[in-house]
Amino acid sequence: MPRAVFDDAHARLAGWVRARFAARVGLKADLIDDLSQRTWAAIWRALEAGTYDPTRSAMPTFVYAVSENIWRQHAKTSARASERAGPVDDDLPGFTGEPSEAVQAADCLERLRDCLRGQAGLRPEDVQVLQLLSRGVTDRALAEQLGVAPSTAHARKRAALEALRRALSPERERASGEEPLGRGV
Amino acid sequence: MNLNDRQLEQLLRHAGEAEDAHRAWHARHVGGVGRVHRGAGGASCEVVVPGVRGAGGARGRVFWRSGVGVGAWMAAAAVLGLAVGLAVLAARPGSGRSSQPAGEGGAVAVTRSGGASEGGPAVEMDDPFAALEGAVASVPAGNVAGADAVVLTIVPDDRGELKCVRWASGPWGGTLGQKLADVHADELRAMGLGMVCEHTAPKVLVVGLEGPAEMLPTSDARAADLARCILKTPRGSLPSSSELCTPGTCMPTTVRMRMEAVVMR
Repeated sequence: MPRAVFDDAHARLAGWVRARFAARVGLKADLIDDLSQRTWAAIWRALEAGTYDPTRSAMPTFVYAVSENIWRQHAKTSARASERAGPVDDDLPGFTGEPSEAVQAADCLERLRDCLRGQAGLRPEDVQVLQLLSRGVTDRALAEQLGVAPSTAHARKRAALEALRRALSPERERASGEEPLGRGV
Repeated sequence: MNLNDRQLEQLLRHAGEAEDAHRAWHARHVGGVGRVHRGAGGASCEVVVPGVRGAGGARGRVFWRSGVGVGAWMAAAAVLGLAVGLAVLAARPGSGRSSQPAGEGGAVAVTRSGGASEGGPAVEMDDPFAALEGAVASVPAGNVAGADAVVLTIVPDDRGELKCVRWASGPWGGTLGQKLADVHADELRAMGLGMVCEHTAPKVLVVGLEGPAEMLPTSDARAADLARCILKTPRGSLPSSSELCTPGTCMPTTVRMRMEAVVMR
């Protein structure tokens, strides 16, 4: 079964993984190959060991998380890569540069995706702000997109982030008493 | 998880990027233009796609000035056509954002991979969603001058005009010496999807170019011109297929081009 899952994921996302690395390192096939192979090796190990739980995170999310950690791992050992990647936000759950922790990162991202899809009980206006933030908009652009003054946009952003924080809190998860949903893609 | 606002914003951006993986997972290939081999005369255009041969079309606007001869407006190319036409680019449900005109002189988002704009006229960003800063890192500027390969990811708006384009340069395959013809179609498409400048684009065109460095786009302005040329090339006389090739526009004859179209489900 892991083999079939792996083959399907590889068939669907191998190109995307390569593209992601290519966009970061340029069209250097040798480095892209290396990073890609490390990514898929880590994915295979997770599938074989059963550490990847498809009921907690969808495969594309997991592949993203693994590739991100592989990139961070590479960036840590390559000054040049670090310079290109910019500051590494390495204090995020699961995004440690350790491929084996990608499961945690994927789990976190999946919960965020639920919030962004309005499936976590957040107010629509908060979801709207969070969706904009997920696209990396600046505060100014946020205000423009919302059609409000910058100060209002800032307040809405703070409120949306607070709502997100509550939605992600372990207490909230336990209080819901719900089993994690399956993560079909 | 006790996360501060900065961490939450970073995680949100990661979640946004993860959506790209989901989009790639669900991406449906609607036909590449195949491999376009230019003849010496600049009149031939072979499309290596089964069932699509000899696709002709009207000439589009020639924009490309040769870097060698001032009078040598290069009128030859291979240009993508889309079977279903760009009319199907109607806004997807849930996509409530308006797009500004991005035609000639209009606002258009152009970013090099990594978001580093350089050269050419000022580039105006028409959409804060367009730039995926952080999603990709820049290709070193030093690579541009000697680059012999360029990838453009073109996103048309719902009128079929340029909404945004993202591009990267560098040798195909780096030290492996890979050629454009050797790049697998899946890889080219995926490379484009990895660079896509608009998260919610229902259709993306990925263009791979290979040729003399002086003929390839080296600035945002040229990348945007090329993207506009590709999108403006008349397709009315072309077969109702997404795989086609229109000679006579956009690129010098010394440049080889491949295009792939991807529609998101």
